[in-house]
Amino acid sequence: MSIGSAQLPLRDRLQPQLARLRSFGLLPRLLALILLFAVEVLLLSLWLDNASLVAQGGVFAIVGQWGAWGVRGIVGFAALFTTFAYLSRRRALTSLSAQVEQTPVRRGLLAAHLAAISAFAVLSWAMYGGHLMALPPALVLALWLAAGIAAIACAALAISPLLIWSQLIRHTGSLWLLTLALVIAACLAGNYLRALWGPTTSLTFALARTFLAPFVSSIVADPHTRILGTAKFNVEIAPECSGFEGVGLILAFSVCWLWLFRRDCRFPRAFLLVPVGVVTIFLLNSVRIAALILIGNAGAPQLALGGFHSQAGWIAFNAVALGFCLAATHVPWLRRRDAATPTPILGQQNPAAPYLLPFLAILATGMLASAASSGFEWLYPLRFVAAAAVLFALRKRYAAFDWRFSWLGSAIGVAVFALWIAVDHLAHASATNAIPAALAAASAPARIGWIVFRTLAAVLTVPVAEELAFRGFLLRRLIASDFETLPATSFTWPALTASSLAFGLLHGHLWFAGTLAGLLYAWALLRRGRIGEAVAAHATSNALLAAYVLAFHQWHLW
Amino acid sequence: MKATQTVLGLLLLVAGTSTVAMAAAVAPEIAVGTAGSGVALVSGIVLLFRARRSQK
Repeated sequence: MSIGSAQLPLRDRLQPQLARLRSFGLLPRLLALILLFAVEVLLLSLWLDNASLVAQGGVFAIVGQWGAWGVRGIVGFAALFTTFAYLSRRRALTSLSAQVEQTPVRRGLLAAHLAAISAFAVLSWAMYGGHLMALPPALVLALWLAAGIAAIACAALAISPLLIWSQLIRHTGSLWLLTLALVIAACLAGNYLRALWGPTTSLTFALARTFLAPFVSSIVADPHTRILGTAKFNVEIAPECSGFEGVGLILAFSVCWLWLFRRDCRFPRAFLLVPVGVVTIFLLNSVRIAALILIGNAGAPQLALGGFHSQAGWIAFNAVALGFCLAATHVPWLRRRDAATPTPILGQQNPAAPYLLPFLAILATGMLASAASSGFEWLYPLRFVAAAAVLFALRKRYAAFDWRFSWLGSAIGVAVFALWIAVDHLAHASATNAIPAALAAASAPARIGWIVFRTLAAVLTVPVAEELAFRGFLLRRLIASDFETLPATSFTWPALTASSLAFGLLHGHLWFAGTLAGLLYAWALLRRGRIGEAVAAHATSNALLAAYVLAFHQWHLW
Repeated sequence: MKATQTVLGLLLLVAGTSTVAMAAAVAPEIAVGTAGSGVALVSGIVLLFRARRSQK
């Protein structure tokens, strides 16, 4: 079904969810623990500099060198373990969660955690700042480690008793060891794979030179310094440009795809897609470098080193990923004979298409428009045109959606606008922006045309596309894969939080305001199950924001 | 055979994610600032394909 009518009032539907939240099962407690640690690590990392620790030498230097790896390892372990446990031990976790709900959070241990983390912060200040040097470094280090371990232990025991933790370890069995082994392997692999960057740069250099040759008669190429280009514009191909990041992305993507679609793929043939993807992305990296040089040589060095440099990698990755998806689903040799017959992703049968395509059109054209820009996105109107074209093409499918809205939708929009401005002020966002200078230098028709399209996009296409994608689709898709069978008023707290957080993360430094906005837009939708309410709220806040930007020249908000 | 494939897949996943993590930390050739759009686009593509699959 599509976004349609409500059943019970929102308050009645919220009651059981709120009751569950108040009883604090395992998942909310673990999420709260992760959030607590994340905030504390973030606050500490704001004023701790590993370089200063390394400069002190001795045992502190070891901590400085390995501290970042330790944090990466802990984050990686938490992410991998949670994923594996959720996928393979869901039943055991549900049973444990029921036990945890009967246990209150122990405030005394939370207070002990605060004391321990305060001691950890003071000792960090002493270590990183070079204070308290009258004490033996080994003693300071031991106290620092003890305070850190005590802080972690107190917080963990505050949310769940030791008995539950031991049961969790028993139920998850060898998953701990497997995750630990994978994290250590990942850290070691990352370090050792870096040694390959140097030799690979020579290959990238040679390939880029080959791709450049048909277009440039006099190439400047020094294999020793790895300078490549022309007399007018040349670049140094550093080891970091050798294409390893793209290769890593494709490796991770292709493995995830093959696992997600394992029932449709014909193994081991489907594994061939992995090296094909890796080789393709590696070649495209050399094409990217050659194209960058050609653009710079053609008289647009700012464009080459600006928008093109930052976007071309993602464009190549998305192109290879899309090719991978199409090959895996449309090449019979790679598919199992009993796999479902592929239907076009743009077809009438695809339930996600009307929800996702407008948003994906905006993202794709935005990426291309940014690649053709240097600081100021002249081609922004393309985003509006692309989204409008998709919405028009799928208009018959939108006829079944409930686009009605009330005053409450607009009121929520006003609240989001006020929130946005407040958070922007608190964040002390940089006022430097390329828009005013670029618009001032443009002709009057170009300037007015750009502002009109930018405003139209903000008020019309962006609210519709983003609400369809995040509230209409993702909120229910995170509850069930056959999301269209769920009522539009369906929600769970994890789905609500995750969809709002995903929405917030797309808003850069204003991610926190974006997440809160996502929650408020979701409230607008869930109240009566009308997508129109969420769109009205989003359009109102964007319209007010556009007026604010134009009236007070706050261009950084665009 | 299945176990071999699982191990191979995990190894490739480890190699891929660690390479990205290392490259992103040192000097990203694929800009971190534009990662949101890039990841959102590829996620959307996968979800489109998955949605079709759920129609079986």
